[in-house]
This record gives sequence, structure tokens and C-alpha cells, in this order.
Amino acid sequence: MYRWLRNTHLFLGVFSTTFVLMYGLSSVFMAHNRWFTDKPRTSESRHAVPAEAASDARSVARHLMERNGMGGEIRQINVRADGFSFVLARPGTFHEVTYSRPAAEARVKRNVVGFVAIMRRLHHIAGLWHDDLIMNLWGALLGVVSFGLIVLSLTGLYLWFKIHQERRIGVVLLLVNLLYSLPLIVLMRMDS
Amino acid sequence: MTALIKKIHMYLGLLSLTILLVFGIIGTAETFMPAYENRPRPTPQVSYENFTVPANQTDEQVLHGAWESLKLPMTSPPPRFTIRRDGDKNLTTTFYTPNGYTRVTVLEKENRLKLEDHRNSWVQYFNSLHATTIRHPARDLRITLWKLYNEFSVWTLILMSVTGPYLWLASRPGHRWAQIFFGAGTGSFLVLYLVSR
Repeated sequence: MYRWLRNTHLFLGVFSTTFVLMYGLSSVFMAHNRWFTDKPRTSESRHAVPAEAASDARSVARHLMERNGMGGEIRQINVRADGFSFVLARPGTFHEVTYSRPAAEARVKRNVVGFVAIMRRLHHIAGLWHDDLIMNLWGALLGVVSFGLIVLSLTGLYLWFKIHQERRIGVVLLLVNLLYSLPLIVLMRMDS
Repeated sequence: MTALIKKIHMYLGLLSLTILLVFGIIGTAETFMPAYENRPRPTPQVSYENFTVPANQTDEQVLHGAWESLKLPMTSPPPRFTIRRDGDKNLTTTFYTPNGYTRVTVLEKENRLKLEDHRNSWVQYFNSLHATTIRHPARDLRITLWKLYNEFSVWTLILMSVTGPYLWLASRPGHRWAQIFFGAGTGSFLVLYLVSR
């Protein structure tokens, strides 16, 4: 039992470590946003999109993905009388697309962000409902790592308990944690 | 050295156990939830409070007065960027707490406030708790204490993700399965990071 749980803790821990580090660092980036600045680099381009490939925003997006190497999730679709605008989003690159029917042309503003902004955006990817495969893979790995975090916490608790000389101080620390956090969780929930 | 790092890893884990479980629960739950816009939204609980708008006050002053009058738990005065006019040109703002949010509309002609209370489910509550960071404006002691715990736990998470692999490398670096799991985790992260840029 001990050996099996120790291995489970080790395997899940080493698998999750880079993801956990990303979530930790990105939390710091968000909580202390004044410490970190990361302005996007922008560039603009124009692309001809024939009318037959521009029945709606999604078909324009598909055309730009296939012909112009863009990618990501289609977001923020706005339909106007003379066309539409939308965003093609990946954590590191945002394409703001404005399509004009009269000109049969898509104006694309490309925003490329750096490490800090990518980490912030990765932090917010969740779920398996995205159109983009990469986003779904991030979502799936978030699920694995999150469930892993629960298992890591519980196996870690067991592994600590098996070290007899650490029990006394461990119980004190655990009680400090529980007596601090659980009443807060309950008191905040009750008061609304 | 290894014994000390093991103690640090263990003690940090014990001190932040609750929030590690919160992180794990919300991450797991979010994985199986539909897109944000497709999630069911319970109808808000609507209530009214008497409130007379004092003469010659700015919108910000009026809403500050409304906030003082309502005494909504765990809220702060509304920041300027949350102040809006609705479709009927009524002044409105939203107060967020870990339990959900309350939209307050000043019905100036009726001398009352309309309150639409949107209460979070338990999963949403945990999600809000995990996002209640040191940046969060708070006048409530509970929120302040939780912010500090959250801040501590974030640094804990970073430290543990460094001390964990150190302990592996210091004790069983040749463990084949550990190498495979480490390679799979780090490799998939790096590949996804590179293609996400």
C-alpha cells in the first residue's frame, strides 16, 4: 500500500510539475500585474477573400486558416451590414479580423504577446468544448492535472502520516491550515 | 539538504492542503462544464430597497451612497469602471463577492434601488475563492484573510513544484516510470506551449 501510494504520488507529481509551475507563476503574474508588463507586438495585413468563401464569419475564418496560416478559436463575432468582424484566438496570438463584403477583403490585425501574457491566458483555458484542438488538449490536461492535484494532496497526507517523527509538527501545521481556511470558507459562504 | 527540502515540501503541503484541494476540485469541475455562455443561469432573486438620491451628487457618489446604505456583505465601493447606465438610462453597478454578484440599479424616480442577486453554486463559489487574490479590493476581514491564504498558497505551489522534482532526483533519479511520467508531462506542456504561441 505505502509503496503503491508513494509511486502514485511520484508519478503524478513529476507529470504535473510543469503545469503546476505554470499555474503558480501565472497566478503571480495576475495577482501582481504591476510587476509585469507585456505589451503585444502588432502588425496589420489585408487578404482577399472571394464572396463565395465569405457566407459568414466562420467561412472567412476557415479561408484565412487554410490560405494564410492563421489558427485558433473563433470568438467575438459581430455581424454588420457590410460584413463582420471576429477574433481568431490562440494563447499567444490574437488575429482581429474585419471582413468587408464590398471590398471582398479581410483586414487582419495580428497581436503577438510574450511569455507573461501567454501564461496568463493558458491559466484561463478550461473545458473540452472548444472548436480548436489545441485548446481542447489544454482543457483535457487541466482536468488530468487538477484531478492529479487532489490525488497528490491525499497521497501526500498519507505519506506524511507514515513518517512517525513528523507527526507532531505535521498535526500542528495541518490544524493551523484547517482552522484558518475551513471557517473562512464556511463564514464567507453563509454571509450573502 | 535533501532532508530539509523534504521537510519544506511536506510542511508547505500541510499548510496549504485546503486550497490545493480547492484548486483540484475546480479544475476538475471546469473540465466537464460547457462553455461559459451555455451554462445554465438561475434566475436572480429580485428585491427592492428604499433609497433617495441626494441632490447634486455625481453617479459615483450616488452609488457609493447606495453601497453604504445597502451594507452588502463582503463588498467594496463600486470602482468607477463598473458604473453604467442601463437601457432605461438608470444608473447601475455590480457588486461581486465569492458568493456571486448583485446588480444594483438606482430607480431614481421611484426613490428605490433594485437588487438582482445572482448566487453562485458551490463549484462557482470555489472558483471565485481561487480567484480572490491579493489584488482583490476588500474591506471585509474574511476576504482579507482569504487573500493572504491564497497568496501564500500560490507561492507554496511554485515552491512545491520545484522541491518535488528535486526530491525525486535526490532519491530515485533512475526510476524509469518516473522519467517517463516526467517526460510525458513536461514534453506535452512544451509542445502545447510552442504550438499555442
